[in-house]
Amino acid sequence: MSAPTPRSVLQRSRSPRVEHVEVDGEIVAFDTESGALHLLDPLATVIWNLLDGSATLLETSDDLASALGRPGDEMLPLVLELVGRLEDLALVHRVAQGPA
Amino acid sequence: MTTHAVRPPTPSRTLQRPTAEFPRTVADPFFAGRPSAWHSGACAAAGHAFDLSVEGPDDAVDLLQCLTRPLRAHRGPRPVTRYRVLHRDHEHIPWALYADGTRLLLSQTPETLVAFFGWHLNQRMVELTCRDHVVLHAAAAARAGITLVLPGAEEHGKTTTVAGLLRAGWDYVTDEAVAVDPETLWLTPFPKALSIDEGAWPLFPELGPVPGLLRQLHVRAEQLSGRSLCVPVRPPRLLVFPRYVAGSRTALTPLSPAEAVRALAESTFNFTRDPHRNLRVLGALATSATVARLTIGRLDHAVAALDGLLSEHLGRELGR
Repeated sequence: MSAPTPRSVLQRSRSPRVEHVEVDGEIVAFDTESGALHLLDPLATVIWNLLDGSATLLETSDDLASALGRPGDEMLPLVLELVGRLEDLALVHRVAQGPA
Repeated sequence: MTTHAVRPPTPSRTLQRPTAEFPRTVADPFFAGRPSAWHSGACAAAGHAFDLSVEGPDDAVDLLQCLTRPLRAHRGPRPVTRYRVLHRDHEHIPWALYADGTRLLLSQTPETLVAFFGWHLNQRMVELTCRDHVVLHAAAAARAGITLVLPGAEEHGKTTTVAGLLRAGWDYVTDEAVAVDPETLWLTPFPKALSIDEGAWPLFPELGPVPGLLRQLHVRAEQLSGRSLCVPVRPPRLLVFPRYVAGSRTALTPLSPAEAVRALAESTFNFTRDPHRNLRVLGALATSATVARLTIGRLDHAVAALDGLLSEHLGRELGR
């Protein structure tokens, strides 16, 4: 049995069941299955836009940290928390890991 | 992050249908032998083209004319739906409304029939127009080339506010629903008779005494010195979400474009039918307009606030 994978090295992608529009730096996202409408604040919007399934959360966090001129270890908990909330709302999902 | 459920709006007013003595469905010959006292001519409720024939006393014709006259279509599609109102003096329930030979309603009074017909037209307008437009549950008016849209649920004060605006010199677009072209954002007007609820009647003494049976007045824009716009109007530059709160101080509160999109989604008929298109259109509306909430305590103050918002907007446009 393999050890659980740390969340930071997993990739996330925006859920295909979500329709969204970005207005003035904020996302309005509509979950077509639950009928819920979500309003993402500017930071959640930036992170949402980076979740295209190609980068790990660690890479996403480093990317953001360097763009904002902040230390990576300060940004990572923030990214993990926000992505966790987006996952809870079913707005994003884990990208399936292929064979190594 | 905040989350809301989308609760689709429903058009105003539903009524119970009593049991029937008129046939449920009738073929053409049933109507052919009956004289038609009055014919509306071709009418259009946005995407719903129709006409109406009425046999019966003049008072019923007067009430129904109030609904159809603002919707007379001098150009555009030929009537698709043919409504007939039949009247039989000797029946226990003397009034019936048919659409293309199918009975929609039996009624003991013409007032009930008229109220139902108004509600039915709203329903059909929404149902048919949603196919190729984004339809908002909203009142709307225009002045100096600027379109104001007032989205909101029932009882939020849309009709009363737009009636106050007409009296102050604005032009009338609708008190119930606007159809937004998804490509151009231009609005198709729905200048139906304004449905003014009993509670607001004292605000409009110029409308005179109200017949006893009515709970809702159907008022043409012209009766409030307004002019109805019957051709497409420019995309809205003012988007204001009204809410009547008895005893409150009338106040405008700015809204972010994203909050406006969320509020617009809640005021979009059949939003879930095409959320991709609808969100795109709502986003475009919210970013091209001044958006605000309007808490309404008094009608005259609300009208003054909206006049002020229009002046500010025009001032910014001219100052560019």
